[in-house]
Amino acid sequence: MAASGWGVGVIVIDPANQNGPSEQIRAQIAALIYSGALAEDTKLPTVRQLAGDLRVATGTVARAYKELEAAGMVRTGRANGTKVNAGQTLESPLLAEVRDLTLDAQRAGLGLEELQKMVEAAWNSSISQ
Amino acid sequence: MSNLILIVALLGFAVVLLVLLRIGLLPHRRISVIDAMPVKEADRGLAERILRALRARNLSALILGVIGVVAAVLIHQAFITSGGLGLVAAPAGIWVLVVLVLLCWPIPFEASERQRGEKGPASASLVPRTTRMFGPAWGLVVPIVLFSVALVGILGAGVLSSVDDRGRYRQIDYQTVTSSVVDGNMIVTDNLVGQASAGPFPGWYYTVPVVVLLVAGLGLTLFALFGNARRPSLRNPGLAEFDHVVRTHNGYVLSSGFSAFLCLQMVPLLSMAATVVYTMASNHIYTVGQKMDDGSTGGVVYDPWQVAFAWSLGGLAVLLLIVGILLLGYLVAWVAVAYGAGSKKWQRRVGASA
Repeated sequence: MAASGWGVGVIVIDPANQNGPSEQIRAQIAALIYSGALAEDTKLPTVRQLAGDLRVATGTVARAYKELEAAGMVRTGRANGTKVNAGQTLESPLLAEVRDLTLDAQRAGLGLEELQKMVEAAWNSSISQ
Repeated sequence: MSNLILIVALLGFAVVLLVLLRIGLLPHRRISVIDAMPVKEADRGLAERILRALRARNLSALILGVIGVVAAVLIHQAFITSGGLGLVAAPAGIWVLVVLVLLCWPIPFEASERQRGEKGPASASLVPRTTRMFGPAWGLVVPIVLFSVALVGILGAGVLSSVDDRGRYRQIDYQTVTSSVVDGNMIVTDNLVGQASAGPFPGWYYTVPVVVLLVAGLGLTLFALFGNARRPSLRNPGLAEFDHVVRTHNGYVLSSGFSAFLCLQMVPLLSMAATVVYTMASNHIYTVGQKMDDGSTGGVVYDPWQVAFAWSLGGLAVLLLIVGILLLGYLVAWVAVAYGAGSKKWQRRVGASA
């Protein structure tokens, strides 16, 4: 499995998700960069490869890459492709807490979707307060 | 007689290839496509579709390769005055046909309309795919180096070639002793150097079609290798390993195939060059002072450098023939993997039925 490179970082586009494909791509790559799963100088796949794999238009992936570049998370060179910028990993206890939360949820037998809904509900209630 | 020799040579070639495959001389580090088949029933539909396509395109390419060999022999017989051009250019021509089949018959990456149903989530790895990830480490380097060396040799031979009596660039002119001067008592007093020619030499007549076919073969092979890496991955992450094995399989087939046919292409050209250089190296010379009686011939003198060069070219031809056969065996063995050869599961099945 490692030979195919799927262990490093996988993103999923869900047609049922209310966010558009471009936002889903941007958010997932950003999350992988923040968590350190995509380290500094890691080369991202070409727009064409990612678009083909995710069955979306190349413009959709290009838009996501542009937004990541505008946020200073990645840089795009003419010959070098798109690479992750330095200093993007979240150096905060938050990351460790997220990992703990994930482990707790798995131990409790919760699925990713259920955990996401719980986080979403907590987020919404904190905004309303 | 020449046809008989040709048929015997082709049969010998096939027998050597079969023996190589049977005795297991070729390394067995091939990844079995069958073993990589997903276990989950839900994932098997697409995997089986891919396997069917892989088998069909490989088998079609092999059949077309065999048809190409037969066609080359028939063309040679039909155009016997062509100086064996059809046979000389056959390896490169056959590979162009084979790689065209592989290119025109893409490996599917999506389930059929019937199997697909509703479009589900699609996943993608964030690892950039390159041609080097799928296939042998020498997959790009060896074919390109072999091609470059072959091209330099072919162009060099083309520049040295000269026209024969039919206006074809398929011989080489060289300086040699062409006549001797004798005095009134028929004693040789001097040897005169003149121009002679020898052939068939791999001149432009042979090399232009070969170069065109080799360039086409290289271009198509590289296009197919890049396409192998570019092909979208399978929608389901559960099929990632199978997808990787299929790409690796395809990479090996393309790289070993082109390298094999490139080696085999150089064999007739090098053999022709070696024979001609050996002819150039020998010279019938009368020794100065020798009495030239009726019917007497001069002694045969060999140029040691040219003889060494001829043997080197001949040795290189034999070496490339061996490497070509080994690579062809490697290619056939890789193709056979898609049919279950080398698979542990398949061997268990065969063992159970025996």
